[in-house]
Amino acid sequence: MTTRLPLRIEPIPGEWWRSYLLRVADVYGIHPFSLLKRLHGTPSVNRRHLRWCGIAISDAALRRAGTVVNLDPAQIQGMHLSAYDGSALDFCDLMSDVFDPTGGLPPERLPMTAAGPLVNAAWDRYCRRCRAERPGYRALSWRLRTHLVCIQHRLMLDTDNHGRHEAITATADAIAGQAEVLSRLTPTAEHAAFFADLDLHLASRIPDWRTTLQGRERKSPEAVLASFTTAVQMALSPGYPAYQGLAEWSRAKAARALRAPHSLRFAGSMSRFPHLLPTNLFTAGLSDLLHQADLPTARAVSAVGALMSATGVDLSRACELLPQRRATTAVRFLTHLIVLEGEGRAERFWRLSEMAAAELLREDVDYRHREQLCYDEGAYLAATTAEPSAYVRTVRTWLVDQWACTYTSSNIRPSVRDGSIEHFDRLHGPGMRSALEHHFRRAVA
Amino acid sequence: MTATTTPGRLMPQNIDDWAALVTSDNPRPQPVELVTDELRHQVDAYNQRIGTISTRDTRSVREAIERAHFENDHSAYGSATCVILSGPPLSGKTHAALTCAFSETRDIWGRLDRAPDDPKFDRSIPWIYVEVPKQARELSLLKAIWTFVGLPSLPSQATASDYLQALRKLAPAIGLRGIIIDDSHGIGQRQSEHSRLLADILKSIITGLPATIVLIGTGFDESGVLRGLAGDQVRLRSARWIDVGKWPPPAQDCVGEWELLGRSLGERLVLPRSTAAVRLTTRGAVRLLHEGSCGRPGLAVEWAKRAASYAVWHDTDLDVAALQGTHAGPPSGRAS
Repeated sequence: MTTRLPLRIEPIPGEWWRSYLLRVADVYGIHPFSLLKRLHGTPSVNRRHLRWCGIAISDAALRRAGTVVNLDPAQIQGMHLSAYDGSALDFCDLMSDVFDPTGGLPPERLPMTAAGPLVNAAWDRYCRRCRAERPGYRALSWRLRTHLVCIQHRLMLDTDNHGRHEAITATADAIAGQAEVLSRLTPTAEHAAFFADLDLHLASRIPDWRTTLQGRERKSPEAVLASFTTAVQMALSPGYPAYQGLAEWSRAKAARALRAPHSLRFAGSMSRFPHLLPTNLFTAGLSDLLHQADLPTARAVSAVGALMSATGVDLSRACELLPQRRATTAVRFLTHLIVLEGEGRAERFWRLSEMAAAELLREDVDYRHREQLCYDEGAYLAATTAEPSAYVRTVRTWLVDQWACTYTSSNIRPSVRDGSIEHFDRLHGPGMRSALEHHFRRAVA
Repeated sequence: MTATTTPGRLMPQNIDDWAALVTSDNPRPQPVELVTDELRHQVDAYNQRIGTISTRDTRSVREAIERAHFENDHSAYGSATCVILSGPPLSGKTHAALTCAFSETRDIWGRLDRAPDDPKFDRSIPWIYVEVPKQARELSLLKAIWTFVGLPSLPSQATASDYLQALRKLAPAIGLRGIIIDDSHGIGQRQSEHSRLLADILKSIITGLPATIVLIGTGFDESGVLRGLAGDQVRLRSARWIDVGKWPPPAQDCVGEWELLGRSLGERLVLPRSTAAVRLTTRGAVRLLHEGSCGRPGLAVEWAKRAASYAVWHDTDLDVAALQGTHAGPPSGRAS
């Protein structure tokens, strides 16, 4: 007996897999379970199979389903929520063969909220006008909590199984915000960052955002819509913590929501980024901006800013990416940035950070390697030989602080008799850098 | 015998097999002087797959189906005409109907400009072939049609009208032109409540589906399928009632259907050795084909193929001797 179905029923653009299957079953007049049996090649199916379908699908199940319903595997894949993995959702470890219906589904329900802000499985969300025009249609994105408005019909989506009596017309701002959200559903690192921020902003503005949102939407839909619009605006204005309202948040939460306004989208090795911004980059403008902080703190804050500008990661992650992270760096960063924003200089801070990031990427120095070599006796001898007039104990400090650009510890940083370490760098730095470069090139050869 | 590739047996009850059955490529092998077992195998396989032997019956069935199509396509009130093929077992009824269905399917598929089962389009299923199951009851026939098209089963509480409605919706999309219902005499054989219901459903299929129905069976007169109210409607709707295989016996003074069958077989069957001859048009061979098959053309064709196989592997001519060497006695089976 043939396995494929005789008709090719085209999916409606943006349609959810479960909606598509129910429409197909309706066209043939068959029960959805009967269709699922054919799809999975299993003799029996139950409600769990229906509940699970449309979330993700294993490769084997995908190929079989494609053959049965006459669709390309890519089309089917695009109708599953996993299509948003890497933008609105993050499936992480959930993407294994756990979604193979032929392999036996786990007895318990998956904690799908782990993948991101999804509408509760027991509830439905839909646009009444879309449904009236295309009976049985359910959009994939309606399963996302971040889809609240049908931008085509300018209506707030209904959020329960019975619907409201009256449709709520969305404001122009809400529609624009929703359109912006929907335009970012393609999985990219940038979009993932946007949705992560949006989730934090929504959670801070809508009390039941992560739990019983549907109840709140039913009680006060206009308020939910207004909060949503504001949250989208905040998520679209990264880098300005006071404007975004992060100043009122806990520092840890604010650090997760703070990003550079622009990113060079660098995704390579983090060893190019020092813990302290090199003096030559720091003095190009950041030193003036951060004059209120002590020098190591100002350089550390600048280094974090450069990393955020280069990669687009949030402040919390940036501090994690620098191996010798200081717990206080994130807090200090936020404090100083809020001050700068109050003075109207945050924009300049981010511009200088981006320039420093570009320079660090251009220089392509492996700072993690330097951190290991700065205690090397050969390096010390090469530096002192190159600059015999330099005070020898300061050379060790210079190697750590100016060459490897990392934190010094008290037992290797003596008092600086020869003025500041920065002055020392201006006098002897070029000669020692050249000697060290020569020394290590010869060692490698 | 040298084993070559063994193709799977193709069944007309399976839509997936129709592409191979409709467009079967059967290149005619060339006889040579030095025969190998490989060539014998090739020739034997070719003879078994020679396909349509055009006879009076195949022509009559084709004309009847074309006429029924015409009447159904232009019917003013949607009333449907069907074709009934009646005849004893192995008289060639199924062969004649399938030949016509394959031919029309080939024409339709040839005009598609794509593969008939291209997944980017609705599947093209111009003809459906089902056999009435031996223990047929109630929805058996509809379920067989349903399964042929490749659909998952309807809910257990589905009624005949649910099936018919779903099939009616589906028929235009798949380009349905006809349904062959083989062994139809089995529908009314037991004269039970089930049989009467089946007869009603058969009538609903004929009138309710936009397709030409071809009923094939043995002894329609004795079976109850065409009796009663529903049976009357079916019988009276028949565009043509064709008694397949009712050919006059070979005569001395004219060339009749049996002589033409012998000639067609002689032209189609092949022997591997270039010096071997096919002699099925002799008066003796024609008479033997007629008498040995008890006047059943379908059986005569099968017998000739068997004799050809004998001639292939024994290096003999295909003649009266080969026919006699392979005669299996008079047929005793009931169903075709």
